[in-house]
Parts: sequence; structure tokens; C-alpha cells
Amino acid sequence: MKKNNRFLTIGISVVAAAALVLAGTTPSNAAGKKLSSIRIAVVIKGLDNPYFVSVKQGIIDTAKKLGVVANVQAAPGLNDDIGQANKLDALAGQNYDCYIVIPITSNNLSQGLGKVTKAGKPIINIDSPVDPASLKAAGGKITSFAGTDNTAAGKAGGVSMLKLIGSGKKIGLIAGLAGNVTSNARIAGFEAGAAGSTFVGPVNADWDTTKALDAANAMLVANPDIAAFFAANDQMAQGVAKAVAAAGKKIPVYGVDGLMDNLNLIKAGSVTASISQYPYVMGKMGVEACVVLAQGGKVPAWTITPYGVIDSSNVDAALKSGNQTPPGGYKDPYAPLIKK
Amino acid sequence: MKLSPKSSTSSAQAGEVETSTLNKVRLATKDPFFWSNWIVVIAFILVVLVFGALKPHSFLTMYNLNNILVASSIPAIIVVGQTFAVATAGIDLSISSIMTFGAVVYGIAFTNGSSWWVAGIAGTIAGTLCGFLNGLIIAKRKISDFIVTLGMLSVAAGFALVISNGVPRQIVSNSLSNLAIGGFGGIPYLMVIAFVITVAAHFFLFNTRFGTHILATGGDPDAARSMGVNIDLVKIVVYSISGTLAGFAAMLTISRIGAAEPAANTSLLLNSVAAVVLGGVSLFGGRGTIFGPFVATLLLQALTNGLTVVGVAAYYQYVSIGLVVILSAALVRTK
Amino acid sequence: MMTNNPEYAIEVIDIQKSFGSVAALRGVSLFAKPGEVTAIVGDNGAGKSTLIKCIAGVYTADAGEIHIAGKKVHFTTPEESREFGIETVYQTLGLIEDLTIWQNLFLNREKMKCIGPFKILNKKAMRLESAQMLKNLDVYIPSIKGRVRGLSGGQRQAVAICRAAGWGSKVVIMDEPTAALGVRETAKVEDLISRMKEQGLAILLISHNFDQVLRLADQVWVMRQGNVMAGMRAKDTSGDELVALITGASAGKK
Repeated sequence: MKKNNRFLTIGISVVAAAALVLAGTTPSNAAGKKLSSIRIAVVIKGLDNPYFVSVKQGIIDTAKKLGVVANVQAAPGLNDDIGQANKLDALAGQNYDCYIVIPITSNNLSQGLGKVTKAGKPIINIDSPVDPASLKAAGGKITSFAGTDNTAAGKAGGVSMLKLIGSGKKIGLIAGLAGNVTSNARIAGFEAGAAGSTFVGPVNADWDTTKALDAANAMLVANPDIAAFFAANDQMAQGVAKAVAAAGKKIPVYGVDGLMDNLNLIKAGSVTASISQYPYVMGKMGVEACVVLAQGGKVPAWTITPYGVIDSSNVDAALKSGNQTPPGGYKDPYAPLIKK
Repeated sequence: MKLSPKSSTSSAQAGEVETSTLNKVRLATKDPFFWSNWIVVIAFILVVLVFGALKPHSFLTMYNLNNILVASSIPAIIVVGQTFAVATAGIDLSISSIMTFGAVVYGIAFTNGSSWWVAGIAGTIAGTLCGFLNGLIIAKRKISDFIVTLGMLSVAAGFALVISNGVPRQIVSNSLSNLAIGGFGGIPYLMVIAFVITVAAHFFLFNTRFGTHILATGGDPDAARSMGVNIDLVKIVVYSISGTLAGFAAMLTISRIGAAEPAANTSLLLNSVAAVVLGGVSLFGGRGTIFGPFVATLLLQALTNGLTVVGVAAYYQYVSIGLVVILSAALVRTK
Repeated sequence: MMTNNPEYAIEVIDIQKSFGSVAALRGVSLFAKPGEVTAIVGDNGAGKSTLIKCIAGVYTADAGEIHIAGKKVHFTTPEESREFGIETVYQTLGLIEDLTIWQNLFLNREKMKCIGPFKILNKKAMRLESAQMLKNLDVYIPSIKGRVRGLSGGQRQAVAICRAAGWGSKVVIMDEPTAALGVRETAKVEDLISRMKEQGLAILLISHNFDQVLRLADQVWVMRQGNVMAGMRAKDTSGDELVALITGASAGKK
């Protein structure tokens, strides 16, 4: 199958899934609202990571295009769970029509979301899922979830890696913040996709480039026969690539996120591939879902956003387009539901 | 100074001369220490007024003021510990890690069958132990507070990761969550707890013998020692208090975010130092108040909240908060 | 030889102290009478500071005895020496700038009152008594509620001296009390010292200022290289003689 068709296949699966799940929709605000009067509150993770900057861009662009107002707030740092909870609390009491959230941990926003649900407002959870148990205990309800299947994304990476280096080789694993759901899913998926290999780690590098550099260095010293590295996000993959270069080796390094910096590195050859998860699309869909709900419509309970492996074979096209949306298009279940 | 001549009439002039109230006020406003206390209160009122004017229906609601109080509670407890440390001319850089360590101990105790409050005692004691170690090493080994607590910052964080295996433990307890959500007649429980701790700390520092010794140790350790103040004991107690409060705050954090997270939260540390400085506590020790940093904590949280409600982008928020701290410190111009 | 004389407020007999191989005190004997200023003079390294610290309890002598009012005493810490009525005013004064005057006067001797099971500071009592302490020595400070930071050098010296004198002390040791003061403030402190004499305190004064010594002191001891070279009444000696004894140009007389 040609590489571009990969995205089409995924896109079609998304439509199929959405169609299947359309039954599980949730009611939103009774009266439909005019586009210009719709106000959306957004609380996402720290903006010191380009991934979430891309989410923010998708939100802002889409809000602008549709003519709605979006207040995007982010926690001061990637692991300030209390700070993020404070931000949601501050916005929960304001009269926004809809709330989009990406929680830092699976639990930290649950109490705030409970307040949002009590106020009768819909919640769109994107990218990282909120833990259902704590959410239920707080009386909260997610109207719709839109995110990548991190396990599937990791698996795609694993499969691609296996094709590249062959079976039975040693692969170093660099994970994100300890215990983080996204990181765990990506790592687990990768291990499944690259089954038959020996895995070193995973070692936690907290999503940080320098920590990943140090971790990879240590791994290379302890295991000189490492044949490849997988990092749970692109910023860490950058650090790993530096460690590999410093050790004078030429082994494949895979990351996740599809950041522009990493695409440039793929072109240059120091990073091998990135599993792109199109955060821009997630932001876009979040806004669209909110608009549909504010207009009194219904949305599917969950949507899998597109992902794909970008390597030297398709990096040029991705670079040209800014890699905000997958080449070859994708299916957006929310857009057609928006009343003009 | 007037040392009166050796005549019998001189004794009438000697000793204390009571000044009139007006003189007292005049004297007070000349004392830079006075301003460093009150500038925080003035700034806080200003912030409330400004944001109240900008968004009267959003910022000045009971709901939102409630948010500010809840958001301030845990930092307010941490800042009490930091104030004690700074009062002895020290600093506690390890509080955020000690809190994380306490949280992890809480998580282990809870998931092994302890009730929500017994686990809280376990977490608090874990904090006390860390703080005691800090104080002991600082006092007996004569290593600077900065270095010892910096080391503990890493050690406690590392231990938290080790014993938790890097995995967060979910804590599902209605009683515990209620602590974060409920309140007494409009005032959130968390803030009531924070306020009680603040009042107790004020009383301890300014109305007990040991409190005076704490201030003396910070003001001039050599002079204090020469008068028989037990400097070592002061350091040990002060850092134990700081560690205990951090361990206790762990339980309160868990009540808000629903899980014992092994990842440390460093913004808590930075905010505590900012609040201490803003609150008029001298970093050189010996001088300060407990209520100054308390109001400063409210101020910082109100500022963050106000900026969020108004819709200022996150980047500008960091700048604004930094500016407030620098401006306040510059305006007061105390050491 | 002088031994065990109850007339002496304090008497030290054959005090020896070494630090490693360095013998700082090689058998020092001297006394001070109550109601008198007893000066100890000597060059740097003569052992004055070491002797003072042995008397104050900061050091413990290797050998020798200390007698207070004729009774032999033993102590190993400054707190213990205080119990025998020995107080010291150090050159650095030992005042805490950011604390108030009354807080400084009562440092580590705070007055408490009981509220239920708790003991809290009795600030009112301490303030009243502070005012009285200053009054007793005719020291004028605008407000004992003020912080030490706001006092001049001379005022601080006065507060430190009041603290030393005000605790039922018998012996007050002063190490260069006017070294850092100007002419007028020096005069005031000397007045204060005279008043302390009137109250029956024994004052041990270390000073390099021979004019001051001859002006204030009743008894003078000269030390040199860990020994007492001479002891005499101040009126019986002169500046030149003191210099000669300190430098060793002339032999001692006791």
C-alpha cells in the first residue's frame, strides 16, 4: 500500500468509528446560539512544549474562522498539576458555553470538571483522557473525547521500526513523566508493535530534552549493542539523537508528536521518524465540537484523531504543509454538524 | 542619648518616655519595616479592585473568591514553614520535594488499607522526618541551609520516585475530596485549616520564648549564642516545622487532585520564596511577620486568577507576576 | 599571698590554660573587689581575652581556681557562670539589631505568664522591668519598644551594660567598652560605669586606653605573656610605668 494511503485508511476508520458511535451522543445546551456569541474556555498543558502550542494554534485558528471567542489558558509548567486545576476552577464559574481540557494527570482536573458539569456546561476532553473513576466521584461528565489512540500510535512506530532494523535487536525506551497515561500507552504500543526485540528501560525523562540526552547516554554506556531508540515524545527524541551522535553511532531514533523541529531533523538524518499525532487537528476538533454543542446539536462520544508515521519518505510533504494536518486529508466528524 | 547627671532629680527623666499616639504613627511610618508589612495588603486590595472593575460579574463573585481562597490554602501552609526557615536567615529549598515524598507515603499507606486521615498522619510524619534531617545536618555539620535543603530537594524527590516506582496511586475517598470541596458557611475547609495554622504560627513566633529565640538566631546567631540561646535546637525545630507542614500539605493536595503523584511541583517552592519576600520577611533573618507572607500568597493567587478570568495569555501572566514581585521589593527597599 | 578572701568579689588563683602547645595562661592570679573598677592591661597576646573567657565560662581552665566572694566555684558554660553572678559585655555587644530593646534585655531570660496550660511571653512585665533597669542606671532611651537598630553606638553600649548589670550580677566584665565610641559618648559610658560602682558591682575592665584606666580604675593588673607582671592601686602608678611593665622593660612588682 502506498504511504499516503496510510492516512486515508486511518481517516476512513475514523469515519466508520464515528458513525458507529453516533448513537452515544450527549445532549447539550437547549437553545442554539449565534456563532458570534459563543464563548469557549480552554485549559491545556504547559505551553513550553511545541506540541501544545500546536493545539493552541488549532484552537485559535478554528475559533477565528468560525467567529467564536476562545480563552486559552495553560498551566505554568508541564507538571504543575495544582496550577492547572486552579486555572480550570477560575474559568468554571464563568459563563462559558463549553470547556475544552487536556489534563496534566488523569485526576487533577476531576474536581474542577465536576463544577463545570454542575453548572450544566459541556466538556470536550482532548489528547489525554481524564480518569473516569475520579471524574464520576466528582460528579463530572465528559461530553466528548477526541484524541489519538496513543497505543495504536506507539504500535505503528514499533511496526515501522521492526521493518527497519529487523527482529531480535535491542531497543532503548525513553518514557515521559513517571506514571503518565499517554507515555505508558505509547511505550506499551511500541513494545507490542516491535515484539521480538529486547527492550532496555523504559527510563523516565519527564518529556525533557536534556534529561532524555542524559538517559540515552547512560543507556549507550551500559548497552553498547543498542540498535535503536524510541522516545515517547519528539522533544525527548531530540535529546536522544544528540546522545547517539555524540557516541558516534548511526542508529535509528523514533519520536512521537510530529514537531516541525523533528521533521527538520528527519530531513537532516539525525532523527529517523516521528509518529505524528496532529495536535492542531485535536485543537480544531475541540472547538468544532464546542460550537456544535453550543448550537444545540449532538456530537459523538469519542473520536479518534488521525496519526501517522513520518520518515524520510514523506517528510518533505509534511514540512511544506507545516504538518498541521495529515497529508491526504482526514475525516472530521464535527465540522459537518456546524450550522452556519 | 542623654545620660543625666548624677543628681537626684534626674531619675524623673530617666527610663522610658511614653510618646503620644501621633508620634507613634509618625515613628511607625518612618520605619521601613512598617511599609514592608503593609505594602502587601495595599497591593492585594489594589488587585481585587482592578480586576473587580474589569470583570465585576466574573471576578467578584462568591464562587470566584472561593476559588482564590482554595487556590491559596496549600501555598499558605507551605509559606508558613518557609517563613520560619527564612526567619533564622536560612531557606528551605526542599519543601516541594518533601511534599511529594509525603504524598507518596500517603498513597502507599492508603492503598494498604489505612483510612484517609491515618494516611495523612503517615504523610505528615514523613515530612517531619525529612525536615528533622535537614535541621540536624544544618545545625551539627555547620553546612549552609541553602546547600543542605538543595540536597534534600533531590534526595526526597528521588526517594519518592523509588518507593512509588514512579507510579501515581489514585486515592478515592469521599471524606478526603470533601475537604477540598466543602466549607464552613462559605469559607472553604482548606482555607480554614490554612488560617488556623497561620494564626498558630504567629502566636508561636511572637508570643513564646522559643519564638523569640528563633528571631534572635536569625538576627545575629553569634550574639544569640553568647546569651545562651540554643542555636542548634532552633535550626532543628524550624526545619522540622517546615517539613511537617509540607508533609501535611501533601494530604491536602491529594484531596484536590485525587491521586498521590510522584512528580514534584516546583512552582510551589518558587511561589513560597516570592511570597516570603513580598510579605516583608527579611532574607537575612531576624525580622518578619507571619501574616505578611499569608497576604502575599493571597495576592499572588488573586493575581493569577484575575489574569486568567480576564483572559490574559499564559506568557503574559508569568511576566506580570514577576513584575509584581520585583516592584513590591523595590518599593519597600528593605534589606 | 591572697587566698580565699571573702572581701574579694572574684579571685582567680593560678589559672593555667593552653591551646595545644601554646600556653596562653601560665598561672594567673588576681582579684577584684566589689564597688571597684579593676583594670586588666597588657599587649596583644598577653592573655587578657583568654583569662576573661575562662572567668566567663566560655573556656574551662586547665588548672587553677576561681573564687566568688570567698567561695570556690566551678563552671563549664557561660550559663553556669551567670548563675554565680558573672556577666560579660563583649566588644561586639551581643545585641540583636532587629529585636527591640526590651527583647534584648530579656534574651534567654524571658518573663512568662500562664494562660491555662500554656506559657506565653509576659510582654507587659518585661517592658516595665526594662524601663526600670535603665532607670536604675540613669540611662535615657526614648522608647524601650524601639529596635536596637535605631540606637547610636553609645546607646547600644549602654543597653548592653544595663543588661549585664541588671541581673543581680556581682561581677561585670567589659572588654574595651569605649573603643568604638567618640569622645562624648565615651564620657557618658564612663559615667555609667561609675554608677555601677556605686551599686556595689565589681567591674573587670580590659582597656588599651591608659588615660581611661587611670581615670576609672581603682586596681590595675598588668599581664604579659600569660603571666601577671604586677598589680597595684591605680593611684600608685602612671602611664609610663604601665607601658614599661607591658613591654617588659621593667620587672614586675606585686
